[in-house]
Amino acid sequence: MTHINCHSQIALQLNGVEQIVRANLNLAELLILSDLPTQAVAIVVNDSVVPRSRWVHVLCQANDNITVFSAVAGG
Amino acid sequence: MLTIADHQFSSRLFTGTGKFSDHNTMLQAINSSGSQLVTLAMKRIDLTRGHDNLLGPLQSMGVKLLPNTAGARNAKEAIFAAELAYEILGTKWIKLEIHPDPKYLMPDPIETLIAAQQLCEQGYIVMPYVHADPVLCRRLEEVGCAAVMPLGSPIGSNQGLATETFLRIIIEQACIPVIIDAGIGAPSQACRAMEMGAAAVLVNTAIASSAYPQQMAKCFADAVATGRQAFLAGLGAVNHHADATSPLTGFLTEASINSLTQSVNIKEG
Repeated sequence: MTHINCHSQIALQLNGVEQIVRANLNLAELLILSDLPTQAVAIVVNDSVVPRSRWVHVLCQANDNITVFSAVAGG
Repeated sequence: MLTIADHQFSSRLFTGTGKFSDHNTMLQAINSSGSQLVTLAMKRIDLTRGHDNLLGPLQSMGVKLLPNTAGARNAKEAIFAAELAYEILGTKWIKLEIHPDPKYLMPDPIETLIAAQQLCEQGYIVMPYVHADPVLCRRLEEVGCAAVMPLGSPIGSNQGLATETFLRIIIEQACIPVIIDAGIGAPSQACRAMEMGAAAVLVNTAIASSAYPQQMAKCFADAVATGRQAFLAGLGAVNHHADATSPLTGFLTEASINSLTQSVNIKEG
């Protein structure tokens, strides 16, 4: 379990790892706080892709299952 | 020039980015291949391993990126992967591949057709990886795919054009580019695919698993170019019987035959 911040806190799953983050954290902030790249990635919240234009408007919720994808080598 | 959707390619060798020992080797090989279209996969970032930047160097090379849906086991997952790819790379080009069987990686034709139709309706440039099935390829063309990518033999097997008979039918029937994907293990096989009239070939394992990937990539580039030129020049017909390339009459006249016969008779007498 990773503690990222410590005000009003919620627990969520980020790429399969439980994280404790402050409430009212939006997706763009979550990437930065988690030291994840903000370019060329996709964010999926509870099985739905959230477009980049919506990242700052979507707040993390308790028990969210959030997955960040990127491009890797492949044939 | 090869045109797919609205994009033109001067190279007919497409390359994958997987299986290379390191990124630098992969980049050198792609550069050496002259490829202008390279494939990528989508993957969940592993928080414990850090993120390595593959995209920057590829983008600075100016190649077009073709994300794939590898890992998808059905149409729903493939469509989801296409959405991910669009979000990550900003491209609607997608190499549609659905292979639920991990041993042979055979593409699922039914799920592929379902996904292809939906993705085409959503405006994607769909290039499906399929078995060398002429009927399926026609159906994929009918639903709007930009190209078809039938396999030569199982992915990564280097077995070459095991499906040649059916590839020829697909090429004959198709009005969209036919790109031979999977199984091409040697430059001679890529050359043969191009001689058959394929629009392009996609090669990954044969280059990446070579002892010298950069050199092998150049060999593939040369083979593809030669095969294409041979196709355009027009191959001669294949005959079951011999057809002499030299004149068989006129060299030995009747008089000289008589002379030879006499000479033989004298020696034997």
